[in-house]
Amino acid sequence: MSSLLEISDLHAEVDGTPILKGLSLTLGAGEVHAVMGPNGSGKSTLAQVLSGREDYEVTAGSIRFDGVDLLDMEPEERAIAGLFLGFQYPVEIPGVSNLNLLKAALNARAKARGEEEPAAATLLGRVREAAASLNISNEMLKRGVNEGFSGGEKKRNEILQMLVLEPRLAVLDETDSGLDIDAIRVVSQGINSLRDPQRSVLLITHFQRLLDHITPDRVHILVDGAIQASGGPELAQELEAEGYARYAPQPA
Amino acid sequence: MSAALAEHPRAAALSAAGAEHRWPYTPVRDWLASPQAAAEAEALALPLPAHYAPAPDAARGDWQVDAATAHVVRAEAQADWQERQWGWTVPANTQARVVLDTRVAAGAVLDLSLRAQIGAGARLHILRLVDVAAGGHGFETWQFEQAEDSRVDVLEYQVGAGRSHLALNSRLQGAQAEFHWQGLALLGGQARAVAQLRVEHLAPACRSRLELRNVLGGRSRRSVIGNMHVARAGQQTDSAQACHSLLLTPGARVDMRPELEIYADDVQCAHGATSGDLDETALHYLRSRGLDSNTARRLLLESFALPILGTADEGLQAPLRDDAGTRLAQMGADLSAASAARVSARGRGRDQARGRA
Ligand SMILES: Nc1ncnc2c1ncn2[C@@H]1O[C@H](COP(=O)(O)OP(=O)(O)OP(=O)(O)O)[C@@H](O)[C@H]1O
Ligand SMILES: [Mg+2]
Repeated sequence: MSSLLEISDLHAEVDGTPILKGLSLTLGAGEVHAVMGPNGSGKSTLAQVLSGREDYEVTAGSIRFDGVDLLDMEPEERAIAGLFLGFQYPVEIPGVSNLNLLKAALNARAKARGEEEPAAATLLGRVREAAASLNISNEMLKRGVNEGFSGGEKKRNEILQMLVLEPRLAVLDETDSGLDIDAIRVVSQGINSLRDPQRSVLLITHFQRLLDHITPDRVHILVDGAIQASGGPELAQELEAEGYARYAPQPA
Repeated sequence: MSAALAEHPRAAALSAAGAEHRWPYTPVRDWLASPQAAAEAEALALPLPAHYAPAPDAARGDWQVDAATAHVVRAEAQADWQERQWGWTVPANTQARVVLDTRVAAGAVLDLSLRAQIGAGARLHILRLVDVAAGGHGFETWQFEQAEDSRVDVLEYQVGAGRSHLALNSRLQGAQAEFHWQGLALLGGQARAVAQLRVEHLAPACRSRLELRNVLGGRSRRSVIGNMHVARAGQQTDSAQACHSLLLTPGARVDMRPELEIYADDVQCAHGATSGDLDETALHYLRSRGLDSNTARRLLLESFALPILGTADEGLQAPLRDDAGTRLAQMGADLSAASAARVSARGRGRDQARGRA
């Protein structure tokens, strides 16, 4: 009943090429779902469409987030409503420090809610605490957003932003790719620490490895722009053994 | 005025710069009637620190600039044709700071020529502020003679929608002399800003650096020629030039031409140029964190432009950054408005498509 995200019959295209072809998925409040699928199946496209990226054109279908039409909202309105996207390829922005970005992001939320901007000390405390749990140094916080970060550092920085922004729905696009074994554990702890009956997570991943740390309520298999199968955590284990062959799209 | 202007050799150069790129010519008065004009015409008003003293406001004159005072030199043309011919000397082993504040109003012409002798071991810092309003013309010729171990630092901050042409020649005559130029230009409307920067490495082990950043909106046009001359005596020359531009509108243009004339064999002359529009991926990343599109654009523009102002005097940094910040915010907001119009046109398309589905 209390579904936080309801995607129905979503069609989306990039530069005129259809990528999502009738994707439906429902995620309840407090649930963690995993989306798995072969390269190029449309996982990142789904994530980008959820975040409101303008280059992706939704041609049919609907997305409701907490009962409202997500497609009518600007990317920043979605973020303030509680949607967070952890990017598969986090962007480097030299000249805007990680701290400044977090400050601007929290101030934007405060403004939208008519609250006072958080005090600098409160903000710094919150960021430092989250950063420490992810082994992100103060020096890295002061650098430009993701500037010169290694692949794994960028992914940890996404989780840092997630922890500070406390979203209601986190969509994490291959946040586990590029992480070393210890980092996977730390990042999983971060994600698990956010879990509560109100918050949900959509994990896009290629690997069972992450799901050893974060047990999903459901696993969906995305092939050729649509969900071909859904099931419990055992589905991910089956995939690990058998691959995607049996989900190959039927020739028309 | 217009007959005299047509005869000015630089006016021809400016027109040629336009012709080369086949700009559709729009008379200035048409542009003035357009709604952006008000925003573009915002005059430069920087509060200067109290220790900057006004220098003699003579049309012609030679004077010594020294460490005792930091000078503000105003070259203003409110109407008609104004000429300035100045000669400065910076005595050996002294330091001088000058703010050269150039304002040209609509319809006015400023013709400024500046010669400066920089003594051995002396340092000269110039903050060059340029604000040429739409319909105004600014022509400047700067000639520097630098003795050994001297150093000149120019920080240029240029705004406006008018036409300007600067021809600079710095002659590094003594060993280990250094010339540094950092420029930020925020241009809109029909601005046309040409800079011909020539540095002559005439003695061993001299250094030169040119770094220019341009944020260009409207149908503005920036041309930069970085001419490095290295004479046979200029062994161990170390020279680098870079020009980076953000073109915010389809009508904005930049061209950068490095020219190297090298007669010595042990030299380093680097050059690089980039140009592009605002990074949409970075913009989306910031918005996905909750920043509205105006704030996100302003942050990206500032991160591109403001580092250039980092070399300004302590007391000047804040006013410069504030002024640039305000202008960049305006440029970003104009862009947001334009892209919102585009998106809403596309959104209507989407609604129709969804209606059909
Ligand atoms: N501009 C574009 N024009 C045409 N096709 C595009 C464009 N951008 C992306 N695609 C295609 O869309 C498809 C889906 O890409 P997407 O990034 O969503 O895949 P993915 O499932 O996230 O893959 P991966 O596991 O490799 O991250 C790919 O086949 C890709 O080539
Ligand atoms: Mg992907």
